[in-house]
Amino acid sequence: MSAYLLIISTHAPYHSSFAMDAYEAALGATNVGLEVRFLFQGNGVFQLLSAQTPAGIQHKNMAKKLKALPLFDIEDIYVCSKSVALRFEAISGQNHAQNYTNEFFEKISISDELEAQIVNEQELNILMANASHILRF
Amino acid sequence: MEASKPHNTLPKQDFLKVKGRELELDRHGYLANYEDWSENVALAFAEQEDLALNDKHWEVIRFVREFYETYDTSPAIRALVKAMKEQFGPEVGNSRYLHRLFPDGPAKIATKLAGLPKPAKCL
Amino acid sequence: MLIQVLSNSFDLVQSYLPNSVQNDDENKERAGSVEADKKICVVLLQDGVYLYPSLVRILEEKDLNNLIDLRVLDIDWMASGLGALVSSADKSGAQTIERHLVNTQQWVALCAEHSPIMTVQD
Repeated sequence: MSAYLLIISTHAPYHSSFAMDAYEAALGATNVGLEVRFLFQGNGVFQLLSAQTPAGIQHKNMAKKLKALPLFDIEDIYVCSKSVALRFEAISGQNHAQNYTNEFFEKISISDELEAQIVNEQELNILMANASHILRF
Repeated sequence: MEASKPHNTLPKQDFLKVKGRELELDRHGYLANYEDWSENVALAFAEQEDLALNDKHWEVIRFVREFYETYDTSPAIRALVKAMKEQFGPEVGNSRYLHRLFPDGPAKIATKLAGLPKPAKCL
Repeated sequence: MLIQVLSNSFDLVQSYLPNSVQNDDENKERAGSVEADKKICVVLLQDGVYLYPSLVRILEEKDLNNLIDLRVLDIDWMASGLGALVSSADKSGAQTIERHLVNTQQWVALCAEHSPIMTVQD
C-alpha cells in the first residue's frame, strides 16, 4: 500500500473555517503530488447533506465544492458510519437510527455521488494506521 | 500630472462597458457578479485580450460556466483539463489544445471570459 | 430570557434548559408560576441549527414546549440542508420546522423583546 496523507474533516460546513481549511489543504497537497485520502467524521458528515442552500449567508455551497474532489485526484473518500448513526440517534431515537442512516447514504447526502466508502470503527483504525501523516480539521 | 503618466499605466478599471451598461468588476478585473454575464461580456473581455473567439473558444467558455454551476468553484487548469477530458475525450481535454486556444492561460482567461471569479492559485 | 445558540454542542445548551424528567414537580411549579410571555426563548443560529432535530425531540419527550419557545434563523437553516434530513426522519417534520423559522428582522425583534440575552458559543 502506498503512503498517503489522511485528512479528517470534523466540522459543519459554515460559520467556522475548518471545513474549507480541510478542503483546501487536501487540494494543496495533491498539487505537490501527495496521495490524499479524505475522511468525514463527527459533525463533518453534515458537509455531505445535498440540500445545502447557503445563498442567504453569502457562502459557496460546500456540497458542490466537495463534488469536485475527484477532479483533483482525490478519489478515496470515506464517511464514518458511527458519526452518521449517532446524529440520527439524536434525531429519531435509537430504534429508527439504522433506517435513517441508510437513507442518509442513499438519498439525502452526496456520499453516493462521491462514491464514498462507509467505514466502521475497525476499518477506520486501519485507515489511520496505514497513513503516512494525518491532518485533522 | 495627468499628461506625464507613462502610456502603459492604464487607469484602474472598475467597470466593464457592455451595450451601454456598466458591469462591476472585482479587484482582479474579473466580473464581480456571475449573473451579469452574457455573450456580450465574453466578447468585451475577448477584445481586451486581443482574442478572436471561434466555436472552440465558446465551447470552453460554456463548459467552465457549467463547471462553476456544478461545483461552486472556478476551475484551475488541472481540474479543467480533467473535467473536459471526461466530457469531450482526450482530443479536447488536454492542456496543449487549451493553451492553443487561450495562449495566456486557459483557466485564467476562459474563466474571465465566462464571467467567473479568478481561479485560486495553485501552490 | 433569550438564549441564542451559535454552537452545535448539545451539552452546552442542555445545561441551561429546565429538566422535567428529573425534577418533574419543580418544573410543574415553575411552569405554573411563569407567565406565558416569560418563557425562555431559544434561538438557534449559525452552527446552532444542527441542534434543532434533537432539541425538538427533547422538548417533546420532556414536555417542555410550554416552557421553551424554540426559534431557528431561516438563512442558517437553509444553508445547512437539514430540511431534507428532518423530513426524512419524520414526515411531519417539514411542517413542524415551518412554525419555528424566523427571518433576520424577526430575530432582531425577539432580541429587543427579551432580557437578558445569553449567547452560547464554543
